[in-house]
Amino acid sequence: MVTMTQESELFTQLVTQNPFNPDDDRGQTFLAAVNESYRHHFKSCKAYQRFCMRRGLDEAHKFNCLEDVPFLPVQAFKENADLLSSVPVSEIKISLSSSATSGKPSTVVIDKKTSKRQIKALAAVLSAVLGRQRRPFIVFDADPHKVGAGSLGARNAAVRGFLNLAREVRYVMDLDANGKPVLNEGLFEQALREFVGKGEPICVLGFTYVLYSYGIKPLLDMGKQFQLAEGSKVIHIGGWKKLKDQKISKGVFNAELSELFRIEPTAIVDFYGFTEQMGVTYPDGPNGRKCVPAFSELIVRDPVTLKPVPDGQEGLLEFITPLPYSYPGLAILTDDLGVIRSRGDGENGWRCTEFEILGRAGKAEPRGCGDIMGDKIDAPLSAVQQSGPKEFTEPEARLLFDHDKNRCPENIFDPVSIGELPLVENLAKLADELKQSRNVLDYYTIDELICLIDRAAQLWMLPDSHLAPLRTQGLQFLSGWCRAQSLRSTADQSLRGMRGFLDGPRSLDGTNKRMMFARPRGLVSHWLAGNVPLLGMLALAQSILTRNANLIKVASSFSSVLPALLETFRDLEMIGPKGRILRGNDILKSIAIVYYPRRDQTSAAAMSENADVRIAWGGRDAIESTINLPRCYSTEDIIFGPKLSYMVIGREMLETERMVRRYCRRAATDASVFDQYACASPHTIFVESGGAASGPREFAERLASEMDKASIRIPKGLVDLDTAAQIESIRLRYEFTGEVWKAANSDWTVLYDENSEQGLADPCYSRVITVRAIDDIMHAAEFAHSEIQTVGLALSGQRKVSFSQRAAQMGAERFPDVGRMTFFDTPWDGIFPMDRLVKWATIGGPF
Amino acid sequence: MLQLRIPLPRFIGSGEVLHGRGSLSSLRMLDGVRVVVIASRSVLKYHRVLIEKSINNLKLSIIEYSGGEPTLDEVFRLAGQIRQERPDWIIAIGGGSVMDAAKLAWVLYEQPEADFEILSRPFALRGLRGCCRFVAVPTTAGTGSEVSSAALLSDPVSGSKKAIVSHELLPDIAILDPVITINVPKFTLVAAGIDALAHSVESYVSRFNNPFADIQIEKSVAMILQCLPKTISDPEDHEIRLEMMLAAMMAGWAQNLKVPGLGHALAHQLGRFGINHGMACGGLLVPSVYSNMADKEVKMRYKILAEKIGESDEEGLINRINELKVKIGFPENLRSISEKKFELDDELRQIVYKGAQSDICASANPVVLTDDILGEVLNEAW
Repeated sequence: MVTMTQESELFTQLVTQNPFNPDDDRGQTFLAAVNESYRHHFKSCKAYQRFCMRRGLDEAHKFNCLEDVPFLPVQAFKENADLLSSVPVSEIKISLSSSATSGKPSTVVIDKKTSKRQIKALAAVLSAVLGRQRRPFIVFDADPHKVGAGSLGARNAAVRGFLNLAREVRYVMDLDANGKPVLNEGLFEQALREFVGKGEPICVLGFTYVLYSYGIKPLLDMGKQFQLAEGSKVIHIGGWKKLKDQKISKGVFNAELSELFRIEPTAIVDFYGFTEQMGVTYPDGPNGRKCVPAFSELIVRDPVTLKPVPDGQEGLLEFITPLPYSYPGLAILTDDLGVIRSRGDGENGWRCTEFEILGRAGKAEPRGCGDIMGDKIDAPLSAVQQSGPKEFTEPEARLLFDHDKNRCPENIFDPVSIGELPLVENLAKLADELKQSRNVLDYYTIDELICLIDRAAQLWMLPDSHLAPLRTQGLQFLSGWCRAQSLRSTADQSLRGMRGFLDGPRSLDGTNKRMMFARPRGLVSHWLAGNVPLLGMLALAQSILTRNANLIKVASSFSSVLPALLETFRDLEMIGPKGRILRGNDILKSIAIVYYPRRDQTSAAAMSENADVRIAWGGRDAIESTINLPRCYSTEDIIFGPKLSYMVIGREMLETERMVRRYCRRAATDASVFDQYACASPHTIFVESGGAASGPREFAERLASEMDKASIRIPKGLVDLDTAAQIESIRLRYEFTGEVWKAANSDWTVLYDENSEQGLADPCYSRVITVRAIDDIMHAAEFAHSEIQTVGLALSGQRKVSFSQRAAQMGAERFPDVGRMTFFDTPWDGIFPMDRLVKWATIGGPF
Repeated sequence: MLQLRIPLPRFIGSGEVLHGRGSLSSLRMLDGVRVVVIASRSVLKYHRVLIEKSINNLKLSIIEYSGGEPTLDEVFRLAGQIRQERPDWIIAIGGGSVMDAAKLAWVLYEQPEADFEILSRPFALRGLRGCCRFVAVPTTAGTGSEVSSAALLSDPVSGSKKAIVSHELLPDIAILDPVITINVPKFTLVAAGIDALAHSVESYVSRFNNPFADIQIEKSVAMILQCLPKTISDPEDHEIRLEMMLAAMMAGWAQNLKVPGLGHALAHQLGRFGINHGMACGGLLVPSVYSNMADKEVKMRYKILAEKIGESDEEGLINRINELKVKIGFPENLRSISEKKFELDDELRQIVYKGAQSDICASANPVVLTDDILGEVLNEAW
């Protein structure tokens, strides 16, 4: 590793000029500093070198354009801090970690030189905002000397950086027993008396959330108001996420602060910054927009293509700065979405790039998707009991679909105008009506109901059906699953081998003296997830066959797909044996689809209290909020919760070229169907070393080719901005640590590593599959746990059985063949859902 | 049942076969709750009380089947009646037509959307028994329906028949009780008996190899040759009647496992001319055996069969068949059997030949069925 003993002249030139009104030749200087920084990191950091070389760059490469500088995603620093160092270990002073309110923290290593640069850079920006005069600081946080720096975490480091320009510092908070900040009014008022009494302009500093929630709000609630000296400033850092969750906008924040301290809103400055380029801060400028200092630059990239977008267009923010010396943080692509508003037009005397932050691209988490049926999660009784009388909220439920009408747009891709839908004034009454209407189903045999669903399933697949675009997004599978043969088989398997139990008593013990039959439970309430609307039909079909009424609540991100599927039943008529007319309308009579917002607890409670079965779909939060709703003690819960799946390929299945091709093709299908959002979709493939025709790495390479073919066979759905960013991040991460094969766009990604000891790779979804080499495939059984649903198997003989038994003991439930992982079958997740939709009754005996 | 991809010889039949005088009473042990009996008018006329006594389920419904080869309308009507009862057992009591009609109505009861056009593809029918199971009680000795995987559906307009073939159609229980066969007309006894003989003799030279079924055939041919005349001459003899039923069932197994050939392929086409199936088979049997014996291997096979029944060569076998026909008063030719008196002109012959050549039995025949072969056999029998 090469170290630089002399501070870069170029960086010094940048940091010593006015950060927001820089010299005219700042552009050339900046580019030269970036090139210098690039060469340093290329030479000194092997991972970065590997990353650049894969992009066809060498050490001598000279960038003439900032957009060409290879960028790292912030996520790179969450996993690979140990790899991303450009100085010898002996020179590292500290490792700096982000606060990481969710997920893993980012970590960067800091040497003396980088540390000095950070101080200089921060001082330069603070001077521009506060003036060069040092002033007293009142910090709305606890004193690290009193409570211990560790208690404050990353807040301490961030605050400390800002105090370099402080003449005196007063901390005005304590920590309670839970480590929560508490305003110490005595300290605060004493500090005010000390500074304000002298008429001296001060600076109030704090983390945005702490300052507001534990400082401003309590003071305003107490009716306090203070008059700060003219020229005083309030600066806050740390971001808006927590306050946004509380619906506190920047406008409200500034207004309340202005009222409390009697200062102009312009005296309140929000600083933006992030750990991966600590030291570079972006304060609000005179226009209220964030300003980029001279030693940094901003590029906005399209979240899908990652190509730079024109100013004024929204995208992911990439910041370039030559500041970091000890780690390759030269160009960082953040998770933040924003837009460039101007480029140094000199307005208000600030000649710099101005931008706005619009939000954050979210991190992917295990999805609660529709094609899984999780274990029954019993809400703890305490939760049920404690749910008690809920605060009454005005019911806001809207009726999307019922036997009368489908109120959703005919084009399933058009948005639904919620406001125009009729209000359901009394959801309990609607539930009652559905239960009453259910009676008509008693006049149908289960086979007649199967017959109607079978007919509808055929209509879904007609070439001119308006559902045709959904064919590659699961409709084909759903339609096949809803065909008579499949439904019969599901019903027979679910109902003690004989669906006829639904049509009347059948013999129980092989005699005609003891009989049993199944009856519907009554009303099934479904809470659907937004990401898999098609698959809601899987449970609904089973509920119809068991002659239950169905009240369905769709998610906020719902589409018109389920109503469109059900609309097929309207006026559908079939002639059954003896001229009996089977009517789709009879099925629709006991079905309604509603929507209500999350805040409408009254509707949620009504839907739950009236349910005989509750079926909940979605992620952990959605599931938990549903199961904690009040319910009858006899209510059955079927949970379609968040689960993950993986795949294993044994060496015996890779003995010939043909076998390798076959399993790569099948694996690609499993990883592509439903764009990998199905809970049965694999995210990791363990490939055993020693296959005669292919090792794990070759398998990954061939899989990439099959993923490409699969993307044509099974076209990919639209990719949201967050996901595209996440895909790019994980691709980059693997460029440091493993190998990557990928589509030119975000269509598919195959990652390869030999870190089988790490177990399962984190899911990214959207056709990102990690292949991991493993010496003994049987060890992969140990990676199963209670949240693993499916393990696709390419194993043979006793190994197949042994693996399944072991993985089942660990918690997994399905072990289908590779290529068939996402085929819905029975049992699913260890249960027979239809069995849970009926009650069993016996006649005669027992013997 | 194993889903075989290659046609290995195997033996399959009804789940249980109960036989003997009084075996009908085993229905008392039926573990169902609601039972539907489908029976022909003549069976109900003589045996309704016996049937009612034999069944001990909570609810028994008896549906009279008006008879005749089942048509789509008839099957739909029957399925509608079954559906109203929602039974867990269907008991078919009667001859081949009743059995076939009941089997097809069972299909429609469990699969109301069933399309017989699709189901006529061999083994397309799957997944019966989710609601109901099936008992076959034959009242004739010959059709083998009680152990058959097939049911025939007639088109009353064209006179053609569609075979629905699936092992799902094998009854769960078959009951061979000679008591319930009493009062069957002589014509029916002759037609059914000779049909059973044709099942065995034709199937013996089938392209489908099945040594175990061959043993059944050898036994059944000997039994039929011996018992059929006695059954006709002494209809009240239960012992002989039972022997004949067992022989016919063995012939039925052979038919189901090996598939008969030329004679049956032609007989299936003659129904449209009002010629009873069993009688047609009887009339065509000897000419078709002669025709197939042009093939040396077939001739050798028939020699073996002849030896098994105590004859020295294949001519001995043919003589025994001809003697049987005389004993039971079988008509000399098919023309005399036909209800509609007509001549087979060229146009009709072409229809018959085409039908026979595409018949499932043609594929089992050891010799390819050309127009010439079919013409010769038909002329001989006519």
